Amino acid sequence: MNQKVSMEQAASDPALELTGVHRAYRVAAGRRGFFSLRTRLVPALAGVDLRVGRGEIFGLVGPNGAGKSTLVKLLTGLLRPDAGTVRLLGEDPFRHRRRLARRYGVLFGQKSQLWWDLPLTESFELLRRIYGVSRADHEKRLERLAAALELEPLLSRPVRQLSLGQRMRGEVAAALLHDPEVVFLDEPTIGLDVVAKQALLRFLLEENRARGTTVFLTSHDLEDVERLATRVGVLAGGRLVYQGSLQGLTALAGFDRVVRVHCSPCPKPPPPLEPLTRAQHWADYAFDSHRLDPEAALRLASGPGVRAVEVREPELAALIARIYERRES
Amino acid sequence: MNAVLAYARAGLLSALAYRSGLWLTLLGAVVLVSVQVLLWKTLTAGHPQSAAYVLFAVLARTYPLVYAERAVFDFVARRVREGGLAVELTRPVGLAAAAFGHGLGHALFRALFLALPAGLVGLAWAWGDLAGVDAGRLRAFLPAFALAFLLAFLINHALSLLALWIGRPDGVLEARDALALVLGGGFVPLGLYPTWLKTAALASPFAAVYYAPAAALAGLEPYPLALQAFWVLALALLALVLGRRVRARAALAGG
Repeated sequence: MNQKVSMEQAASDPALELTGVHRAYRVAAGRRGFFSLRTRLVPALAGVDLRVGRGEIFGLVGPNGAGKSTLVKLLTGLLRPDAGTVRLLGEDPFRHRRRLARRYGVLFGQKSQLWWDLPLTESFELLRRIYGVSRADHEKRLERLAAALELEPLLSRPVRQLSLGQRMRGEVAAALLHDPEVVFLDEPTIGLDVVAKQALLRFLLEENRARGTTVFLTSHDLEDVERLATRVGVLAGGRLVYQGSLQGLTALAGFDRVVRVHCSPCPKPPPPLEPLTRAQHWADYAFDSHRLDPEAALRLASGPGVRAVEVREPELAALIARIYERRES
Repeated sequence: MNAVLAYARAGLLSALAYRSGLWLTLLGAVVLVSVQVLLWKTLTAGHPQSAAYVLFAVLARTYPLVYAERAVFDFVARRVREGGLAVELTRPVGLAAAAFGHGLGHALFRALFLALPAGLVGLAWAWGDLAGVDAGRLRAFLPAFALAFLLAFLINHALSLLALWIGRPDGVLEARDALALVLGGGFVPLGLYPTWLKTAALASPFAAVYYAPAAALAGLEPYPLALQAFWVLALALLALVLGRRVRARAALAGG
């Protein structure tokens, strides 16, 4: 799905929509007495506006405490906003939580929805009954998921005997078994090795393409978002500081290229190059390719101690780090 | 209903997964019921209501095993402690219904593998004291037991919801056990209590859970069915009020 289509779809037929959403938590701030606590309000989300279209894969990134999980809890009806409105598939998820629960799937990366003591296949059977899926549909769906996620050899094993990667594949299948229209994946690759992660991301992409499932992904791991998302949102301090294409992030970060200079010692960069990362024998400098003076680049490349220069596209992590820095400064 | 039965199935299968530890629990239950029967036989020898007291001792030590109180309590309390309540709240089933199904599964397991064998041993000890049990008493026992089961669930579910406010509610469980022992009338029939304690016991829901069904079948002073029904309604209301606050609290307690 290209960027233009997903933006238009998000506007005309949103799968989920937040308008002016504020949410704060009351948390303990010390003791007043033996039984009483002093509390204070901590804002988790402040004025968030967001629309995600049907069939879109939206990636939400942000540091710890940025409000990502709060956003997922609002969208799944676990929380009610203090102000603003939340809509999931056109309905208020807090008011219609149980009805909507049949239409969405959730995967909380650090929590299990499987029955620890029972074989994987039994967990799936219980979920079939809980979600009211017919046996025929369930079998068809399970066959597909088990094949795609390589679950067949694991089906008869109790969940507690599965490795983390195996269990996460089971968790993904559990979230998708009832064929949800929207699936929320909160840190789905946490703790997975590279191979398991790649397989999982590949499967999610196929699922989105084959069935048009809307995927709302939150992650620390920017590679997940880069691989999957058609649009991204960046949360910082409870505010959605960016939503749009991955390319659009570069404009907000102020650079779209990185030059890696292999050097010893490394020179001071001429403007508009800005230092990004420095290691023992190389340094990365960020720059906006539309503003770079070719003379400055030549000066850098021919400077003392410089052995080689390579220009590359910036990593998402670097872009987001720069956006955070800019916001904080 | 299907969802409740699914949770019941999960509860039963989970209990079966740990059945190897059952033998010691069963041994404890059999010892306890045997000691109770022999004790009451000795204490009430020659008393006109001796048979009723002995039968009461058997019943009061066996059918509460079916309530699966710990399983019901743990359903919410453990999820709060381990941060998994949010997952439960994203399913298309109410938390109380899920906890009830879970408790039902464990109850079935405990009925088959604990209460039934322990009860049979107890009844074998008290064989000569069963003469007074008739169809009328059975008719009184069944609704009393059904309401007691429901009430035991509601008490434990409501207490488990307190975990959302106090975190680790082990103290609540100890208080529940102490109150159940004193006010429940399960160890000593309420008719033998001093008047003030009997009044206090009748004014608590515990006697409706532990005393009422045994008294109905043993032919002791009956516990009013209407009062049992009142307690069911009162506790259902309390669980409903606490349940409405669950989602607001779960967002913090559930991780």
